[in-house]
Amino acid sequence: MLQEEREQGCIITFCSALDELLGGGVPLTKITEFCGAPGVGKTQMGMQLAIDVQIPSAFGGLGGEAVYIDTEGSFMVQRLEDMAKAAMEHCRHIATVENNREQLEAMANFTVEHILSRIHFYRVHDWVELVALVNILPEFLQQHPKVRLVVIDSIAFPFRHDFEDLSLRTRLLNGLAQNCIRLADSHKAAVVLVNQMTTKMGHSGDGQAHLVPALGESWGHASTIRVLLFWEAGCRYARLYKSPSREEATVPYQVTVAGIRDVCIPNNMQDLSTATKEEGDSLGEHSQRKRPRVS
Amino acid sequence: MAPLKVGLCPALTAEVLNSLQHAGVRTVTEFVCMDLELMMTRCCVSYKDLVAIRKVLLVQFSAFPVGGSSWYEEILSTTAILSTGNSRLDDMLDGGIYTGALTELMGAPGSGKTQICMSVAIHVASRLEQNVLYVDTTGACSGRRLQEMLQNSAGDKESAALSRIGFRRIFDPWQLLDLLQKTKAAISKQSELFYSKLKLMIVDSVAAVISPTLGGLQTEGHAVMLNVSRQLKVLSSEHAIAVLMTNNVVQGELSEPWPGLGRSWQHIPNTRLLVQVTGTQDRQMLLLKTPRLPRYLSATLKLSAAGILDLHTHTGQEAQRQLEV
Repeated sequence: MLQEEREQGCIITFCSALDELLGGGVPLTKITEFCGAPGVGKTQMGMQLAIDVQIPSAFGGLGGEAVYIDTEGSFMVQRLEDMAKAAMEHCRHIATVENNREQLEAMANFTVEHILSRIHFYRVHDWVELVALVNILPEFLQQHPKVRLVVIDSIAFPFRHDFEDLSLRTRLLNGLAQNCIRLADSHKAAVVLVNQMTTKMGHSGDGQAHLVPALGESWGHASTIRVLLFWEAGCRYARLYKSPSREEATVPYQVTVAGIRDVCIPNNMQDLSTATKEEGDSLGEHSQRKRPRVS
Repeated sequence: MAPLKVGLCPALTAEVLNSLQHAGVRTVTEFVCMDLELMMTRCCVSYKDLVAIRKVLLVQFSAFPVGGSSWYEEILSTTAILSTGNSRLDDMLDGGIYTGALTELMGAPGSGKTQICMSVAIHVASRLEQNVLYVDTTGACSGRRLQEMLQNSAGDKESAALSRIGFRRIFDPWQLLDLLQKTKAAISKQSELFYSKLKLMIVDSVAAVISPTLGGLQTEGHAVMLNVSRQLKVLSSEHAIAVLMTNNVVQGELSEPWPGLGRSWQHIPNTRLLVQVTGTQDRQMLLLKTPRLPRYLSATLKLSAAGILDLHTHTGQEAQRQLEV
């Protein structure tokens, strides 16, 4: 008898290909997982989403706040400032071009200081703190009803080092996943989890090793939507691996000073080299180049 | 081990219940085993009332032997076979999903269990016009996808079909138990129209809600799991409802897929299907546990915009049915 509410918003990223992949953007009331090798842009994605959730509704965004839980220590405020500035410029550009009064008014509240003040940042050091934090998050969200995004970067890190009892780990992770989905559902927020990759030796004849998302098979069931980020021929790609409403697809994206953006086509050498230069300038990036760059 | 409650029978009022509880009689079993004269002196309840209550409790809670032919007649009249919408899957299940039985789908993440559940729900609601209770424990059910499936399959009678599906979002096992109790009560009361035509209950997924409580030194999770299984069985057999559940997959001894939730859970479903990924949209279903057909029957499915429903374009493809016994 209950009809599903289809007016749920999505958090749009500034990369239209990614939005297309996810069916409008990162959806609310669901857990989205981004997995990838080091340096592919998972933390960048998390930071970009923390800014994108704050886009005023006049521009089609959600106008909400974000909770960022950092377990690795890879969060850099300077980088966030750069992204926020770029987002603000982009929106101001739209507002002046369309000369929409509502949008111009909304810009007053969308400055870099406001953006940074609406991100609630937590630094946790081990799994006990993480589990405790997720347990008290519902109360926090009740006091801050405008929060629409919770980013945990990364969920794999505290559980991968020095964890002797694997069954305890599985149980904790399952409990964490249930808490997250309950949180997402009751507060109409999106939960974004960042996961690492691990190597698995293939059983299927060839015995080749390939990369799979970390934390095991059982963790695969925890997230509603899973996006794999990977490198190929010098370009970053995102592949939708698991989703209840979208087909599997792969799209390219790039990380620039402004954050996550589309890859501009035509894909000639010029664009790639400028992208390379801008990435080199950006601070706080995992700047270890794992693959040789075509330039 | 059912507790005594007000309203189980007309003579069981609140004061009678209070005096019984003071005397230490809390469950039906304790009441029925106690000596009535002794209870009468201890609780100051009249002998007539106690006899009446005892009679009603015995009728409600004991199992009566039935003759084989009358049982057969009963099964014939009450069991229904719900088609899943896909003829190959129906063939593998000997007609479809049976009411009075628990059917389990297991598979790796991303293998399509939720898609199959949604597709079956849509088919039962729109074509077979029966009510469906969809219990979602992972947040994976997407209304947009349901609408897409509906549009691609039936086209018409859209809103009527969706109103026949009841959604519940459950995130812990006690809520699930509560829901099962309430559903049982609502069906026996026959008060709401939705429950009287309820024929299918989908729980997606059972593993997600129960596995956080299992393992370690606590045994409560195990008890909760078996309690859930018992409620599901009672619901399915007493009220002629088909139950479709989804489960995880873990690595077995020889690295083959093994159903999650442990050994105790393996005995619970009557039919078990494994969903495996063979291509971007292709899936292979393997029959692992069945009361009627030989094991290891397999069929291939294609996940399309309409779910797993047969479309005219798909019936043209070759049906690979291999009997590997």
